[in-house]
Order: sequence, then structure tokens, then C-alpha cells
Amino acid sequence: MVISMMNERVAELNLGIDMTQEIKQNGPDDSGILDVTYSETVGEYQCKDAKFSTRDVNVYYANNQAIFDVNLDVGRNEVIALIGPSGCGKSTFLRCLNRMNDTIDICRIDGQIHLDGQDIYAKKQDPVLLRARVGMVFQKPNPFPKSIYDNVAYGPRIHGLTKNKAELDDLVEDALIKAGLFDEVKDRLHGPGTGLSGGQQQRLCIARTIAVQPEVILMDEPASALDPIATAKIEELINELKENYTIVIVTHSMQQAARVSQRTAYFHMGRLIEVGDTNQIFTNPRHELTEKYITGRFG
Amino acid sequence: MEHLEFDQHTSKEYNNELEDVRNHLLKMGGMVENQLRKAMLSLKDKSFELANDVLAKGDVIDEMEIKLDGECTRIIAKRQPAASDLRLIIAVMKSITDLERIGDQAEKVAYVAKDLIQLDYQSPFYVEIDHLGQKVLGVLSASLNALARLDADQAVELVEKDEVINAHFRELNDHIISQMVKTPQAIKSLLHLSHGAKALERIGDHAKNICEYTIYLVKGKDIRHTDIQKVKDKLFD
Repeated sequence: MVISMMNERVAELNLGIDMTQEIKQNGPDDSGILDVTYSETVGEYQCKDAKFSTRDVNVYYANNQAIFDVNLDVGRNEVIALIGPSGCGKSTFLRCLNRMNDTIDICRIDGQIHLDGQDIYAKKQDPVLLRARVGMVFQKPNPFPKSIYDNVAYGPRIHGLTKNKAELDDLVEDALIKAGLFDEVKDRLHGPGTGLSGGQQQRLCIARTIAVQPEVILMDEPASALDPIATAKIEELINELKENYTIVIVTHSMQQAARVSQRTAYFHMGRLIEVGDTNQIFTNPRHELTEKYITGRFG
Repeated sequence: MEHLEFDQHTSKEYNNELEDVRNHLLKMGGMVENQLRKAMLSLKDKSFELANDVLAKGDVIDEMEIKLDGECTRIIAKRQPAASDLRLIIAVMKSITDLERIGDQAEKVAYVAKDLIQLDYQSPFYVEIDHLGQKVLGVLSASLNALARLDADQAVELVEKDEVINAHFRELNDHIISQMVKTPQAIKSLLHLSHGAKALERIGDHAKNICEYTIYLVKGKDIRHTDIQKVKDKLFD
């Protein structure tokens, strides 16, 4: 063990020569550090070929405006974290992305929300089909009172994604594997989903979401009801899922936002205050309100 | 982000912890500054007692370094500082390393003073090295002020001044070398003087590092190893 570690160390030392040359060729770059520009990321964010693109979004609950003029793009295969104090509108905004607010009568939405360039609030858009493309995971694990297998198979059955039992079995297994749950439940696939631990239930809900083969996964505080170990598993899962999915996550844990996301958006009283590269937001935010929030300076 | 206030957290205890770290850092800076002042005086006045005093106080600075490192580590573990708080902790942890080294260099100057007293060396170089020492002391003192006041404008001016100190050191060293050629019997003493001058020049470098951390803390940009004119053009008005 020790010897193999030493060998690795020697190999590293040998590599060291090449690495220094590489550093000499590629920098440290004088200008790089100073030329990073942040200005265009404050308050709104637009990118090319966005998965989600939102323009001038305003949301009202009856006479109360919950969201003011939000312009925020979500890049493909990117994890974007929405953070902000309670009531800042981050969950409302998240729910706009798969029309979960449709069920609330007093809720009215202005502005444009496009998924792959198509208006998701267009009249011809079926919200059920939209939600198959844009899945959602909630704060509390909410498995159906059915077996583990049926929980995952539910969506594919409704949407007719498989031709026969064998294909459905494969799809269920695949979703459970992707959600990192398969090994723990493979011997009791037909046991009740509600019999799992909280963390397992949440991963079951993620498997259920993945099974419909969505393009985007919305997560509303997916780990806030879980212990640190289950949280770590969910976060690891998010990291793996971003290879294939675009993920928008609302979280109250700033450290979680810092760990899992590439881009962070800070909401305050219904406005998008700042959005930027996660590394930048947590080391050198541009906006005073962001700084105050992430450093715990709000009374 | 240039409106830095470290006493506005919801957690008062966190405010106090950051306040303590800053106070202890400034206290350590004051101690180091004093060490250098005394070391220079021991050299100028040929005072064995002052030199010994400097050497005796070195341990206190080392202890301060360990204590402050511990405080910073605990804050990182307990508070997970972000943004300006994080930059403060990083700047403190880096600054104390440089401060401790400045303390070591001040001790070196005190050793030089003792050696020269023992060699009973008389020379006009005492005045010249004192000039360099005063310049370095001025820069160190101003660097610590800039850090205390979070004054990035002053810090960037001081980073530029390091080149003046380096030039002064080279000039002094050239004089010492020509004197060695003229008076080979004094080479041992002159070598000590040269080491003393080198120690002062190194202190200038450490003071410059502290200014760079100050700029990082205030501006959020790591400007080390970057052309200072570019830094001024891009980060300062």
C-alpha cells in the first residue's frame, strides 16, 4: 500500500517537469485575473442556446406582485442554484418553469418563458407534456403509496414510454441506478416506497422524475428534510445528473448552492439581484445585498 | 465590493470573532514593527541590550502567529465564511506568515548589530544602512495602516514603493562591495552589514505581500505577480 503510494508520488514528481513547462506556456496569465468581467451578470443573465430563457417575468398573486421583471437564462447541462431569504420569490420562479402555478387560481404570470425557444405558456402547450420534459422534486419526499417499482413505473406507464414489461423493467432499473438507489432496493422492488428512509424516499422521487426522461429537473429544497449523509448522497447525485440534465435547484443552504451549482442567482423581495458564476458569487459578489445575504448580515 | 463592514452579522458572536482576529492581527503587526524599530536602533546606537531584547521577544511573535492561525481555522470550521469574510480570513492567515518572517528578519538585523559590536567596527555605513532601515520601516508601518483601514489605494502605492527599496539596497550593497575591495581587512564586518541590508530588503518584500493581501481583501482580486501598472489601470481610478 505504502509502496504503491510512493510509486504514485514518484510518478507525480516525474510529471512535475512537464507540468512546470505547461504552466510556463499557459500562464500564470497577467491579464487573465484582471480581465474577468462581471458586469453583465449582475441582475440578469442571458446566454446563447439557453435551455430555459425567461424575459421580463412578473408574477402576481391576486394584487400582490411576487416577482418583478426577471430575466434569467438557464444554460444546457448546467446546475443553477436559486438562493435568497424566505419569501424572495425563488420558489415561485421555479414553479413558473413547469407551470406548477397554473393550479393556483389567483396567480397571474406576465412575460416570456421559453424552453428550447418555445413558449411554454402558449395556448397549444399541454402542461402535462411540459411537466414530462421538466420534472420536479419537492422539499419533502412524496412517494406514492405504492411499491418502489410502481412509483418509478408510474410516469412511463402514463406517457406510454415503453412497449412491453421487459422494457419497463429496464427503464425502472435504469432510473433507480441513475438515482443511486438500485443497490439498496433491488431485493424489495415490490415493497412499499413509503417504507424507505427519508433519504432513500427522496432518491426514489428523483428516480421517479428521471424515469419519464425529462430534459430539465427542478428541485425545491430537495435535501432540507434530510440528514447530512443523505444530503451528501443527493448532492453527489446532482453532480452526476448534470451530465445529462439541466438542473434548477432552490436551496436555503448556501453551502449546498456553492457545492452543487455552476451558476448562482440571488433573489431578494421578488427581484433577481445578482446572478453569476458560483465561484465568483461566493468569493467576490458584486452586489451589496448578495454580500449581506451570503455572509449572514441580514437582521 | 468596497463597502466592507465586519460588524453587521446577525450573529454577534461572529462579529466578535472577526473583530478579535483583526485586533490580534494589528497587535501582531505593531509588535513586529517595534521589533524592527528596536533592531535598527541597536545597530545605529551599537546597543547590545536592545539587540538582546529583540532576540528575546521573537518567541512572542511566533506564539501570536500560532494563536491567530488557530482562531482563523476555528472560524472557517464553525462559520464557513464567504465573500468579504472569507477574504478577510485568507488575508489574515497570509499576512501573519509574512509578519512572522519580518520578525525573523528583524532578529537577523539584531544579530548583525551584536556581531558588529563584537568586531568593534566603525564606519559611515551605519548611517547609510539606517537610511535604508528607516525607508523600510516607513513602508512596513504604512502597509499595516493600509491593512487596518482597508485602504486599497494606499496599498497599491506601497506595492510600487518596493522597487525603490530594492534599488536602494542594490546601491548600498555596491558601496559595501567597493569598500571590501578597498579594505580587505574589514571584509568580515562588511559582510555582516551586507546581510543586514539584505534582511531589510526582504522585509520590504514581505510588506509588499501584505499590501497585495489588502488589495485582495478590498477588491477581491489576486494581483500577485501581475504588472502593477496594469493593476492600477484596471482596478483603480
